[in-house]
Amino acid sequence: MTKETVTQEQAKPETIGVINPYALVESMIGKKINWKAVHNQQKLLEDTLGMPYEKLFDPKHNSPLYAGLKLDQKTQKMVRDSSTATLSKAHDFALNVRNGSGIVWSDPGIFFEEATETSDPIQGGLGDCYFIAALASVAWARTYIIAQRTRATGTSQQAFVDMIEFFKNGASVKIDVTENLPLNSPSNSYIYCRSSETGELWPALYEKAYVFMRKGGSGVCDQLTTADYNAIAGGDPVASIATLTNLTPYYYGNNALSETEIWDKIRQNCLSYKTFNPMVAWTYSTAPAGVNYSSSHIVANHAYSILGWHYSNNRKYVVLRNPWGNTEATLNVDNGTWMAWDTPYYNGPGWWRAANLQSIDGIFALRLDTFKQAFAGFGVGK
Amino acid sequence: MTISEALHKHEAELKGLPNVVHTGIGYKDGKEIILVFVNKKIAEQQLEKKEIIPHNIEGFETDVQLEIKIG
Repeated sequence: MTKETVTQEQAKPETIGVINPYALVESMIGKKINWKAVHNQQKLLEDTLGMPYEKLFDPKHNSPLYAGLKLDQKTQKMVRDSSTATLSKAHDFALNVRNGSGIVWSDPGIFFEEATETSDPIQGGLGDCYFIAALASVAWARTYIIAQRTRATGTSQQAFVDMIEFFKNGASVKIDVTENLPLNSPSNSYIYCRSSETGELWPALYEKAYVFMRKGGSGVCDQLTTADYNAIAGGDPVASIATLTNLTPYYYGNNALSETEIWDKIRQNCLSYKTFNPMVAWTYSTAPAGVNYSSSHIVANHAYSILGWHYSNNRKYVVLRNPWGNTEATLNVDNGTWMAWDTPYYNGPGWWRAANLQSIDGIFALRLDTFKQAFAGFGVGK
Repeated sequence: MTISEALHKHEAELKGLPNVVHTGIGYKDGKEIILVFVNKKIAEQQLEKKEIIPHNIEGFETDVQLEIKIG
């Protein structure tokens, strides 16, 4: 190896996180909400979080979703905020969620309610969108990697653990995890990651096992502290794909690429519109010049899954999913139907899958030029 | 040797260097490069010779970047 320069500057690492507002509202109200049945979701968010909807998604407005963090005006990067000043009731509550008051541990369901689906993982009250977006991307592009591997630990049928496999430095790391999860007391609603399917646990168990691995835990992973969870806030979505799959992480900065190059690189990892290698994208810490995250409903400092590409009315689109399972971009999106071919596995069958881009599930098709401008970069595991 | 093979061959030694958290492959000026992510950037003068990340690995350019922290 040759000796060469490392860097000229000395900098501290960033600490970044954005809470799922829907999870925060559920925690504040103290019950699970069927969001699809809520006529005016924005009003419920505004009323509960005490801030206009458009201001929630950029930290420059002191949104409670970024509680514990603040935007450094000089560097335009997120840094940890040690101030205890009360900004709002929601802000204080969000800090308490992170600090872990009122938690009970319980087994609220089963590993799989139905199949592994990209729509299952829903981020909770923790800034780990990078991991949840990666989890959804893997569930979409490499579905069979998400698996329940379980064994009994006693004579009772209810005594068992699940084994979750990750990869670290190319080596397999196996975590034995119980199905106990931290819940809000007394409502027993989820605090952290949950599935869109009621009673389904796999996304929450993958998150719990990931927290345990990051902590360096040994033995069976049962109950953790909120400090353990909080320690994973802020991270790299492409590295998370590698952690979940052992694939090699590839990174691309939108600034350095032309629209054509972005389009080509996304399509190189797709077959008939759908990714076959898991892909993610992420936004800037705050909106860059010429972009208004608030009015376009794009969340700052946030990771999204890339599900594939779309072509409609002679325009190119990138199909994305917000790991909140909600809050889709509204600027330069297509609201038609997206059809994607689910690639055959192991010479098995494949099929066309349709997504209604008008439904509120976090999935949206964003015009390529807007994707290039509003997103900082994207990555793939291959 | 492909860039992926080069990365995997040297991944362990790169991750053994101070402040290196993970590695990947990036794209710069029309070609693929090896990315080395660190949690803190330190000037070359403050490092031992053996601690310095090489500019070139198996013929592939390297680039040192602060780790991405997205929440």
